[in-house]
Amino acid sequence: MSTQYTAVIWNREKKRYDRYLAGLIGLFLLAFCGLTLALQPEITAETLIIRATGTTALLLLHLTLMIGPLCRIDPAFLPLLYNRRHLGVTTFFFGLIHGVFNLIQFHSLGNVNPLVSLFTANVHYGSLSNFPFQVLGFGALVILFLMAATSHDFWLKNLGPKAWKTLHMFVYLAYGLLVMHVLLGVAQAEHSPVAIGFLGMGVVTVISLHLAAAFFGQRGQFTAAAGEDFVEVCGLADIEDKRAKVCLIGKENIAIFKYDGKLAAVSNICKHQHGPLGEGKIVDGCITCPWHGYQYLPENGCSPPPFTEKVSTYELKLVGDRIFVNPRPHPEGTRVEPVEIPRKHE
Amino acid sequence: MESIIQSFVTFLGVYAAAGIVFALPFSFWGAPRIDPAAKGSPLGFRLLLLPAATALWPLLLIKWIKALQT
Ligand code: HEM
Ligand code: FES
Repeated sequence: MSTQYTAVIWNREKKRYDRYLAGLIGLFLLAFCGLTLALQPEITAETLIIRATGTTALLLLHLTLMIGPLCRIDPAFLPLLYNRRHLGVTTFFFGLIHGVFNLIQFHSLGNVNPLVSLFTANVHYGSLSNFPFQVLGFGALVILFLMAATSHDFWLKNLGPKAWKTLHMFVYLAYGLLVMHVLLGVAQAEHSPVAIGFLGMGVVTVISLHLAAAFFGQRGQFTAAAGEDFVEVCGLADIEDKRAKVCLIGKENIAIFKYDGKLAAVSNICKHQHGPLGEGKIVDGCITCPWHGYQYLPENGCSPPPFTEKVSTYELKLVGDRIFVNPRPHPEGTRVEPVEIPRKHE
Repeated sequence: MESIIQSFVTFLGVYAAAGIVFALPFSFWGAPRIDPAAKGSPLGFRLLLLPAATALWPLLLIKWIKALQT
């Protein structure tokens, strides 16, 4: 959390994540190179590297873009989100290898600067079928670079969450540029239509997941009229032990936790990157954010020392087995006595 | 067209060179200035700041100067 920065925070979960990621990439590369060599034995090593790295980067970008909406549809996918920034940085590196090899292969032979050559080798900017698609790839690579370079928490904090989030929304622009890069590039190189087919499937998947998340993503959340003192949220049995129920009342996004025979309510929004605390679990007595593991004490919303993050807390009431919450937040870190659950309900 | 692109690429080169010159001192002295949590952090973390410090140097230079004034 915020005591000190380290280069990369690795823990068991993240190491496992990275191993799976490396394994997946390895398998894909093997399959891709194997198939390409079988179908085009005359292909040069450079071309193979260019195609394999470009395709891997685009595949990883698809995964990156699918994880967000998948998690909004079903929290079961949250573990995928946990270490998404490593996925993003890996995507950039594959894109970089692809781009650099292309610059060497196509643009470094003459005496023109390779970057100048990239922009001037083809100037049919007004033509669709001859459009300089490599410039689109370059634009996307710049965006991927900025995102990878600023992915450390230091930048999140010091550029401010708003600017950081805005920057990272450009991933959609990068995606659009890359779809055009590949469509135009493959069309101009007269490759097999198979590539276009796969790309089409990818685009349809990404778009439909985002639409589905927009329609069904609120499931499990609960909205009530604001302005009332206490608002009924759910029954005791609706919350699993060491878990939370999330409710949205007016503008307040609240997570109500049940643990050790008690109930406590805090803001659903993690101080780190606005992760959904209510989708996390109580671990060692602390609410633990499902995204990167920041922790908060349920009774006062404070991170355990030496950390200093604080979230708002809320008053709860238990009437029979119905849970009520007062949606007016207490200042961040205010202690609110947890509600004891009478024995007969346990 | 050719000359516009030539100047653009030259500009990029100058910008990046200035960024590289800026990034090292920033990651060692500037970062802890604008964010006390970065004081005494390990070398790996400081090296990790270099790419973004190179790319965003005008912005960070302003932040650094502001932090020096307070
Ligand atoms: C400086 C940046 C880039 C340049 C100069 C560039 C150049 C090229 C070229 C020349 C091709 C056609 C290769 C061929 O004939 O087979 C190509 C294809 C492709 N590029 Fe890029 N590209 C760049 C960035 C990117 C990035 C960042 C990605 C993905 C994240 C990407 C993904 C692809 C894919 C998937 C293909 C189609 C597969 C293939 O045939 O190679 N490119 N690129
Ligand atoms: S959002 Fe990163 S730990 Fe909560």
